[in-house]
Parts: sequence; C-alpha cells; structure tokens
Amino acid sequence: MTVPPLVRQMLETELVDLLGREAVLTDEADRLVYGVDNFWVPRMLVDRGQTPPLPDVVVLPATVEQVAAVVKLANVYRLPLIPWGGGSGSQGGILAMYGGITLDLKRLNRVLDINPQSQTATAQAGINGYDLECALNAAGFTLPHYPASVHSATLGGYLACRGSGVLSTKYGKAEDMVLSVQVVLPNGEIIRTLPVPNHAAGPGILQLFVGAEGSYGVITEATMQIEREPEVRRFRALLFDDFGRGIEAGRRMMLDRLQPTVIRLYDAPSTIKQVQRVLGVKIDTGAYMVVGFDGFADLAEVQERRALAVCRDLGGRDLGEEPGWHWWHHRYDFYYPSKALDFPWMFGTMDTLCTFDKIEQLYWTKKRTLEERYARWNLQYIAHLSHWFPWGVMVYDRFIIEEPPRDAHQALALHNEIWNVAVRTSIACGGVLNEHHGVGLKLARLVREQYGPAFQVLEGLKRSLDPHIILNPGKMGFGPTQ
Amino acid sequence: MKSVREYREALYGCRFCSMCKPAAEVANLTQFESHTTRARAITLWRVQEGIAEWRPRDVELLYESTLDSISQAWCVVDYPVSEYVLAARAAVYAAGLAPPQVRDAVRRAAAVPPAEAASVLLLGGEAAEAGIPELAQDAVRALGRVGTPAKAAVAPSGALAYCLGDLETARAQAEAVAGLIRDAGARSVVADGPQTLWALTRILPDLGVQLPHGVGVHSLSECLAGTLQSGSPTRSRSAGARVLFHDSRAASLLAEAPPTAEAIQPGYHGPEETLGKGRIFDAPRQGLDALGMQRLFSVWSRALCKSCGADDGLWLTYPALAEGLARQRLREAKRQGAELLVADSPLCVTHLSRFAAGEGVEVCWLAALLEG
Repeated sequence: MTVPPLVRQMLETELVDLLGREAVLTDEADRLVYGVDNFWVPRMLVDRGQTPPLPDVVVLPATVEQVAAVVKLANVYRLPLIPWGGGSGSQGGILAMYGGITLDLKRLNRVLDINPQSQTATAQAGINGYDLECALNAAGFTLPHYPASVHSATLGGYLACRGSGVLSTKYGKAEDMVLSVQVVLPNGEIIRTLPVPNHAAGPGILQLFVGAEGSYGVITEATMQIEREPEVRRFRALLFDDFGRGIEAGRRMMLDRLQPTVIRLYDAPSTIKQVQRVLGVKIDTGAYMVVGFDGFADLAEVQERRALAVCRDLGGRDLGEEPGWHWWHHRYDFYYPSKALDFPWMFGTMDTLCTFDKIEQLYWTKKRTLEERYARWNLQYIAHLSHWFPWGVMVYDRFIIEEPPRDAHQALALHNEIWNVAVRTSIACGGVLNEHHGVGLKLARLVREQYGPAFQVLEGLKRSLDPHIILNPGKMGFGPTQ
Repeated sequence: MKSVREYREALYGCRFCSMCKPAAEVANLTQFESHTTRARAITLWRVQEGIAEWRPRDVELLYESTLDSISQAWCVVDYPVSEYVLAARAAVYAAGLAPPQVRDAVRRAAAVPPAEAASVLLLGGEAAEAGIPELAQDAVRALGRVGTPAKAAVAPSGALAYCLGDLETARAQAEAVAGLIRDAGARSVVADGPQTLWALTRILPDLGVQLPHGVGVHSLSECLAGTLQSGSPTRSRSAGARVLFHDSRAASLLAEAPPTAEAIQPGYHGPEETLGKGRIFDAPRQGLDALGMQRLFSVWSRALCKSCGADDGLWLTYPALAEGLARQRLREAKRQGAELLVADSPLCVTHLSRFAAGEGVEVCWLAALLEG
C-alpha cells in the first residue's frame, strides 16, 4: 500500500460519500485484476507468483459529474488517478505504478445519440466495443472499428490509445473516426472539443486528448462517424512467392485508391506458423494475403477485380474466396488462449509504421538485428502488415522467446532491452514508436527519444494542464505525481 | 467431480483472457472487473498453485456469480469454465469457507414427499427450489392437455446444493429423488425444467447415483412440443404475440454443440441455431411455433442466454444481484419489442415474475401457455 492507512480511510470515506458504497472497491481481492492488462510484464509477475502494482482504491463513477468530483478529490489528496476502460491494452497503460485511485469508467456506458442524417453516434466512453456495435447494428449502422480487443475494450480505450481495427485500411483508425470528445481535465473542469474535427479555428485540441492515454484528461464521451452496414462484403486469399511482392501488390492497391477494407499480408514465418495454427490453412512457403472489399455490390466487385489483376501481375496466386471468409469468421480466434502467444514464452508486439519507400528495409533490418543480437535466446521475429495507408503501411511485428529467464528480474531486464533495441531500430529506419497499441508504461521511457526537442511541447502541455501529474503518472515519459 | 487442480490448463488460459467479457452477466451488471471470468481465473489459479489462500472476499466473489457457463459457451477454445467454478465451490464448501447465506440456501430445501404410484412421473425439482409446488400441477395439467397423463412429485433434485458446492447434501437429495422414482414405479420421468433435467442426466451420474434401470428421462418442453407439432388441437390465448424465449443457464449445460466462432462476433444477426445446438433449445421453440407465437431473435439466447438471476443459486445467495439480472433481462426483452418473455424453467419464470410489474413485458411459463 502506498497511502498511509489513515489517509486511505479518509479518502475512502470521501469517495463513498461522493459515489456510494457500491462504487468504491478497496479489498485486494477486487483490486488485483486492476493490476493486469495484456502487457507481458504484469502477467509475468502474476505468472511467477508476484503481485503487480495495484491501486489503493478503485472507483466506478456513473456520471461525468462524478468523474469530475473524483478528479478534484485526487488533486486535494495529490494522489495518482488512473483511467480504466476495458483493461485490454498491451502497453501497461492502466498500471497504478505509484498506487492511487483507479477510475473504472465502465458505468459510463450509454449510447446517447445516433444521428442517421450525419451518420454519427455519440456514446459515453465506458461502453464496451461489442455492446456499442450491437446497439449500432440494431439501428442499421456499424462503427467499422473491429480491433482484436472489441470484446473487451471500451470506446474511450479505442481513442485513448489511437487503436486500429481490422478494417482500418478503408475506414481509418479510431482517431480518424472521431468528431469530438467530452473530457474531464486534470483540474476537474468538464470541456468539449469543437463539434467537428476539420476546421480552421486554430490548431484544434481534439487530437491532444486522442492518444494521450489519460495524461491530459479523462475522455468521458465521444461522437464518432458511423457507417451503414455494407450491402456486400468480399474476401479473397492469395499467395505470393515472397513478402516483397506482396508488399508491392498492397502498395499499388493503395496508390490506385482501390479502397480495400483489409490487406493482411503475412511474412513467410507467420504464413507457415500462425496461418496454419489458427486458420488451419497449410502452406509451406511464401507470403499469404487476405484482401477484402465492401459496400455496393457492383463497386466492390470492380474494386476486387482490379486488385486481383494487380496481384496477378506480381505473381500472386488466387486461393479463392473461402480462405478469405475463413479469416473473417475466425479473425478473433488469434486472441484466445492456446492460439494467442502465451506463457511461458516471452513475447511482444512492436507495431510500427513508415512510408512505402522504407518498409522493406525496416522489416529486414529489424528482423536481422533482433534475431542476430538475441540468437542466444533463439529469438524469433514474425510479422504481418495489416493497416495500410495511401502513403505507407504498419508492420505488426512480434518477437518470441520460447525459453526466457525464469527469474522475474532477469526476464524483465531482457524484455526491456529487447524493446529498446526494437524501437530504436524502428525509429532509425524511419518508423515510429508505435502504430496502434499506444505508449503506456512499456514505451514511456522511449517517448523523449522519439520526439527529440519536440517533446517539450508534450511536456509543456502536461505541466500546464496537470502540474502535479495526477493523471496516469509514469506514462508517456512524464514522471510520478508531485 | 474433478478437483480444481485438474483444471490447471483452463485456468492458465483464462487468467489473462478477457474475450468473454460481453457475456459475463454479473460483471456487466456491477461493472466490477473482479466479477469477470478472468479475475476469477486469476484467483483460482493463484490458490491452486499455492501462491495465495482463500480470503473472505475471494470466496464472496466466487459466489457472486453464476457458474459462468456463458463464458464457456462464448469461448472458442471451449474451456470448462463452469466445471472449474463448480470444483472451486465444492472445495470452498468442504473447507467450511462458504458464506453463511450459501449454507442457508442449501438448508432451506423442501422435504421429499412420499411416492405415489405413477407410470409417468413429473418431477418438480425446479418447482421445489422456487418454493411453489403448485407449478408442478400446472405442468401435469399441460401434459394432460397434450394427452400424457402424469402424476407430480415435488422434491429438490440436488442441483442447487451441487451448484453451491455442498456435494454431501446434493448426493443425499439425488439419492432421495432416485428412491422416489423407484418407489413410484415410474417408467418415465418428465423434468419440469432444464435444471431438473440437468440434475437427472448429469448431476446424478456425477455423484454416483443411479436412476432405476430402464427409466426414460424427458424434458417437459420436449413432451409438449412433440405433441403440439403432431397436430394436437391445443392452442394458446397468446397466439400471435411477439415472444422472446429465455433459456436458463442449465439448458446451456445440456447443449449438444456450442455457438460457432462466427456467432460471437460483433454484429451477428443469425441464424439462431448457431448460438448453440440441442433438443433442449429446439423443443420449447418448436412448441412456441406450433402455438403460433412470433418468436424474436436475440443473440443472447440458446447457449448464450444471459442469466436472469435464477441460475446456480444466485437468487438465494445474492438476491440483489439476481434482481438486477432479472430487471436487465426484462428490459432487454422490452427493447426488442417483446410482449411476452417465455421460459421453460419454472425457476426462471418465478424469479422473473417477481420483478415484471412496471417493466412492460409479461412473463410466462411455456407450460402455462397451453389451453383447451
């Protein structure tokens, strides 16, 4: 426990007074799970019989006013306040590194408005992704943001980490779908960003909060662009002789503006290992690709035909519709235990993003650097490319060590060293710190390197908005609560 | 019943997996992360590995739930979630750590009546737990309307005690039920609802209790549906009503196939059969169809039906949570446009009915829909 017992009791009294007994959790049996997300480190600690950092208290406000009141109280006590959505992040963004109050936002879970004319939906930030999608479907719409975490993550979490869904290649990332947000600032003020994201009313503040992982404020509500459910979906699987030809095919599809919903291109090790293990498609070599289109039937058919012609030019072998649909129907299977990466392995997803001219060099440099430097640990590097832009593509690359050190301290040291090397290699090759998982605790120490002198902009904002570093301390390169 | 230790692989997988979160009924009511299957698996894993010991709040959390069979139905890996929760409850109960209200719930069981000779015996196990023995007579009347004369016997089947971990009481009740059937000389037993059917077909064998040789076990829904489909003149005054059918969690434990991977993806619109296969789901629906009801689709049905609070002892041990679940189910039914929420479990009907006033939807037992 980080807070003296009497202070903790006084705090608890005030929180119960504000929110009611049923919204305040103090027993360790309740708090334990709030120390675990999908980050390898807290899971490793639990796996090895240790307890990850826990908050002193967890609160579940039901209104934005209650959120604001808790934020103000955290300022009075100068205690850390850590926003919690679905607990599905992979970067340790929810870890209560210095104790304090975890602010579970899941009771803010109402859909407030669905506007068919503008095709927008406004919902509270704590709504579960699956529940939001079901509510939109009932009205004939969809939020085409289908991340692996959709069953667990919340709308606020999508935005806090700038997440990507599997159809991001056509519909964009979470930050591309958001029109505006309501935010509780670190001083407890409730604000709204401008009603639309595109304007010339100054630089805008929407994107300061989107991706800030709760460092600049707590997102409590968001208005998102939604879509009509498509008339058709089409999927197709292809096999290329090598990864490079697959990348070139994807590049041409994007530059030709064929609007694929998805291009998933697996490198050879992923093709052989993951595709077979999860999708049951047995392939011995090459680069496997799933490509998809949606919308009006006639348009999607033309787009697909053009895309297949591009692939054919590059030697891509058409495997037909069935394996493409199989991927769509089983796209979440990758994330269930026994199919997902799991203990006792050490693993991490190091997704990065760069322009097309740099992508092959980045992939091969990172693969060679990591596999050579950690040959002693038999490190395996696998990757697929799954979020494409008109100018570049994301590499969803992962490292796996099947027999890491047993000792937790040694394991953590090795884990962190690998991450340092991986991220620095990405940056040196023209990539970025991360594409869609966020920073969290995992990459906090590397944010300053990524931004260089520009970090003073982020730091200055933090100092101005949250001088005592109440919100999510220890993340984003900012220090502990002052 | 296996020990918790034998579920190590499942606990290992579940402890860091939150894929079943949309399904977790109690967690979706309270929003406490500690009510999720993942949290429960972390605790169970730590206890069985010897890393931690049961603390009072851990035990409460174990009982502030159903058996999490919906998480099992949701899981594409099909981890035996309900089995490890049952095993954990049995271990906790045997160690004397169960909360007082859990022990009280088991103690309140009704006495087993003397046997009356009957060729077809309607066993009112759920009716006994609901504390409304008259429900069994309703079931007998419904059977009579479709031409199956039966006599009713109302006795705890052992299911409640089994769910709460009191295996000793469960075994005693199971033996008493087996004795009742034997003494009645019944050739056929009709279970009044899915939980009673689960007890007769799964719990008794697990506890090493045998039914008399040659006795056939059927569900009430199956008996009613079979006759209605074959052209019985029986009709319902509610024909044409918009109906949402509510499956109990016990039905899920009798499923013949779990939901498909496709069915648990966001935006799934049907068909309903992919949400879990089995006679236990089909029979009541066939009955409703034969009565001319308009059935509504819900993704939360069949093996994925969310508990109304009347499952696995929750309504007796943590009634506030059970009430919350009942109100959620009633409101969801109303949102879907249902006029009637029909269930084939007397326990579910009794529990839901207690909270239906003012919720804008009527609750009805399948057997009570028949007339004439």
